[in-house]
Amino acid sequence: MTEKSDAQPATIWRRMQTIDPRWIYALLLAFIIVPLLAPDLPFPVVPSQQSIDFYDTVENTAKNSPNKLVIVNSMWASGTRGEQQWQSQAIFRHLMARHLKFATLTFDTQNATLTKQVVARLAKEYGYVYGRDYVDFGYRPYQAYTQTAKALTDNIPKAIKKDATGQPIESFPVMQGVHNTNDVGLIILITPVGDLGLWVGLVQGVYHTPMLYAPTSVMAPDSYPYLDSGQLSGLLTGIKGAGDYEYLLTKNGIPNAKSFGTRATGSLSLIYLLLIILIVIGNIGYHKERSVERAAAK
Amino acid sequence: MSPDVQRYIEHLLYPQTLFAGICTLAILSLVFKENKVYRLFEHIYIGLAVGYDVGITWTQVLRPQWWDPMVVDGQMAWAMAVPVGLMFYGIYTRQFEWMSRLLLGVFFGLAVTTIFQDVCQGFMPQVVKSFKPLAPPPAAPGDAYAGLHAVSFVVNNVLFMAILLAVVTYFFFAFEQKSKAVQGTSRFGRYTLMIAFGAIFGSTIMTRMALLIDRMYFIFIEWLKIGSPR
Repeated sequence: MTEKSDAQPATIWRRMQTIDPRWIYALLLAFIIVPLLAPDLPFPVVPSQQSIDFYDTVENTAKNSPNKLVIVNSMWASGTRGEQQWQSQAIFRHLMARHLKFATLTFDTQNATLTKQVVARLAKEYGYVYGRDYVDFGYRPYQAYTQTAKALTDNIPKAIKKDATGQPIESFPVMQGVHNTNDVGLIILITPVGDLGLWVGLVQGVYHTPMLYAPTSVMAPDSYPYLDSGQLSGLLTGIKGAGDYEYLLTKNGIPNAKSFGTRATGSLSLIYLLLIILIVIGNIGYHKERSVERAAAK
Repeated sequence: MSPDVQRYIEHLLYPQTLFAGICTLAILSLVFKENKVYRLFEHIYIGLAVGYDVGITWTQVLRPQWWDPMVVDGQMAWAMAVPVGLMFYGIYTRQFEWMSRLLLGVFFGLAVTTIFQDVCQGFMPQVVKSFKPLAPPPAAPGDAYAGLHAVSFVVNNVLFMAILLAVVTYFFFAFEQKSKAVQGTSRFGRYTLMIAFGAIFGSTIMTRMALLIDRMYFIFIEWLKIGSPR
């Protein structure tokens, strides 16, 4: 009781710095679900230059090397599904809409199933036939990542041998004429792990095969030097990149492209607004409190 | 009960979706406080992930690439992989520790050879591209904003070179930085690094929020069906 009467009441400046986290969670939830429940809210999408470059590189591959294979190395699992399933969906939709042949490869156990689900759903929509239009190189253990990636530059059929179903990969029409990465038109990495250097150093650098990178947002800044040097031709930054890509696909007449990425971009915009407001409130409280304390000390 | 309501209840209680919903809510309950339900589901996740890893490793790697060639095709040389693999476990006994070191040595050797190639092909183009021209290229024919583009080119590259030199100066520890000019350059380098770290932190927030948005999408749109999926 005595303690209570002795304790000084919290000033408005102190309260601005110590907002109850439950209020913040409630606001966060509201800011997330409003764009999800109201998808028609007009949140502007301004695609970044890296996303546009990503899109253009796929378009150029379809135009200049339409018969070359595209290798898509996916490494995401359920932990980063929130960003990378939607990147994958947009990328595979673009590949299929432009009739590009592709092969999927993974070094993550969960991804072996997750990417297969995305591809199977889109393959049905675009009439893609397994073996003729695409092939699944399957899962390889992460410990063999370096050796497998490096071996692709030498001899793909020898490095991969069998697809995910156990069939020799040379038996598939999609693999006809594909000997090594010199016969590959494009390499795409969809990954939350820091394996970009490995692919650039051991694979891209050998024949200067165009390479695209779709990481989680947190990994994206690591790739800027590779973009600047031209080793990477484009970048999709997390869910924002997925939203950009859905926008670009829709703008260029590819149907059914709008999906979660577009909606999540709206939620993200509101969340960032909330964060900025909270940071400003906290800082105003901090500086005002200090100036009041300094004045009292004088 | 109308057929629509019945279908909705069936959807809500469909075992897989219901389990996914309960899992999501249990894990999110951590934001209020650490609790036993969260702990239980955390352990369920870990158990599932490990079990799944073991299953996939057996069905997609060990069985097709090692067991079947050995047992079905009769290539008995694959049996040698067992004693060689067991050599790794020598690390747990002082007597056989050398066995694991032997294998680790082989792996180190293999890794070193690839790292040479990795560094040369990965980083050298970046080093070369770090030396940017400070004079603008000739204007493109018909460019109405040629002057503006030239200014932007020069400002960008000067800024890039200044930051590059400042950051390299900050990381130069070979001698004590006594000169005021070097100290100032180094401080500028530190500030630019801090700006970069701030941008990286912003990206980290984006990833975390995207994962939360995805879960909310599952709960409100896919599970509870409040709102249209399109």
